[in-house]
Amino acid sequence: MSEFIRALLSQPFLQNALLTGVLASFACGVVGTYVVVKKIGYISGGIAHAVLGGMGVAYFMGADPIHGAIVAALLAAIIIGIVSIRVHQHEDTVIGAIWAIGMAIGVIFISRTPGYNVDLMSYLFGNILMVTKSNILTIAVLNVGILAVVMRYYKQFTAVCFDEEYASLQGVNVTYIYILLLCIIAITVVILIQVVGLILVIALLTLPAAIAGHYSKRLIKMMVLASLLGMVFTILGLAVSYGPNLPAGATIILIAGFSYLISFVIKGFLSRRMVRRVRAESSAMQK
Amino acid sequence: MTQNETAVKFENVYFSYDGNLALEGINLDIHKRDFMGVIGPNGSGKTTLLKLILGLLKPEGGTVTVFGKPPHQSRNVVGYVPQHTSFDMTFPATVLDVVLMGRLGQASGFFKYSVKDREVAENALRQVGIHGLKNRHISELSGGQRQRVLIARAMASSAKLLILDEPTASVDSRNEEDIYHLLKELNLTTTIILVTHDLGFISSYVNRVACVNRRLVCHPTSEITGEVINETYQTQVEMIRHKCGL
Repeated sequence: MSEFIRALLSQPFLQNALLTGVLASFACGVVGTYVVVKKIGYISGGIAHAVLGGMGVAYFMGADPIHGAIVAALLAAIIIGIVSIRVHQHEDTVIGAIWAIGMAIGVIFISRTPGYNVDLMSYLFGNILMVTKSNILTIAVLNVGILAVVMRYYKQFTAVCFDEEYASLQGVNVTYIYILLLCIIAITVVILIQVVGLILVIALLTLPAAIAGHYSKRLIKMMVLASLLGMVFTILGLAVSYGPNLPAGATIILIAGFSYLISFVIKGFLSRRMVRRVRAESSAMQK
Repeated sequence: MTQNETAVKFENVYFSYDGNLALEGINLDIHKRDFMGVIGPNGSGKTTLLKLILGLLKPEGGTVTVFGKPPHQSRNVVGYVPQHTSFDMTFPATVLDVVLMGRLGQASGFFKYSVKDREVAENALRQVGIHGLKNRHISELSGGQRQRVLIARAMASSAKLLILDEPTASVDSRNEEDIYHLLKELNLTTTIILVTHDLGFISSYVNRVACVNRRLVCHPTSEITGEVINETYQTQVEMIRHKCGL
């Protein structure tokens, strides 16, 4: 660990990685909370994988892959959003198709790109240690955009996640808000792909929020807690992986997954105890 | 403004799901400050009737008007109380958070609800008698308390018309009586439409009863007899009573 801290002070690439992790945690916690409470992990997974298509095309055309990723993620979000509202019964088929077609496009374009063959693994599993200064700037801008939209539509997003029917009776345009939410998720996915790659992204999006959900009575508290947890997991993952030279993304996910498991057990224990206490109280009252 | 002004009007309304006729030739006038009970067997079109009033469904024939306008234009004065079993108890929200969602139609501003919205929501909680629970998580409530939360949410949108879909399903009988009593109080200022199975109870609270079984027959409460009920359910009342656990 001390080795990591010494390296952090002297190595700019490690400072960039840490900054990326910290920045990503905000979007991860806030948007991940919506993914968990609305139970749309599968939709988010579809968007994440479709992103490879955009990255591949951008790479083939000599553009920055992150720009291709943004376009592909938004496109996938809008298509999935419209399909899930209009033709509800085929939703999972369509998500699965977009998931795989996006990846297929990516693989084909990457294989057709002449010259030095890009490391496909770094798109799939991320390479937080390779993040550049310009990537960080893009991530920061996207982060501010996401947080601004969530602030503006916080009430609407929350109402649609809790009770779509009632939200629409309140005059909320549910279709618009739902697709907007998916677009926000898409942008968050693009940010998180820089940290852990597109295969592992869904775990980083949902696990901190799911753990936070165990201990939060209110949505806003869940968002704050999830952001803090995301930050802890990425920093810890970077630190642990640095010494033995493990892949950072996979280490981050393992730490998050293990923490979720522990939290799940603790939560189960706590709620059993609460049920016992309530039962004891009510039987005491009856006597 | 006379008391007998119309709140909801159905004129020869037809509705079907995938070719199966759910409602047929419905004519109905609900006056302001009516407390109308809607009864009928399962699948008789009761919920369809409510959804037509809310504008969630559009009639295939005929017209529905709410306070003289098409339903989707009067949504801001209609409060809807769904069956409380229909929403996610693990959602991270307190009682006050849920009631505040009833202010969404009126609320302005970003992120937080205004002080006025909070006042209205807290008043609604006082009226339904659970203001003391405002900071509880929604999973920490009894069935009766949850139902009150949903009634408070509907009232928070300054509703002139309250629509309730089996508000006392899965609520014990003492709480059930309390809820009807509460509705009777609200009825002093609000028109109420209530779907229910509990034939016995409602007769002492409602002033009119609509019997639905694809067609609709409307009666003042005093006219409700075993014969009328038999006609609607096309079965013995005792069976219904047995089914309701009355």
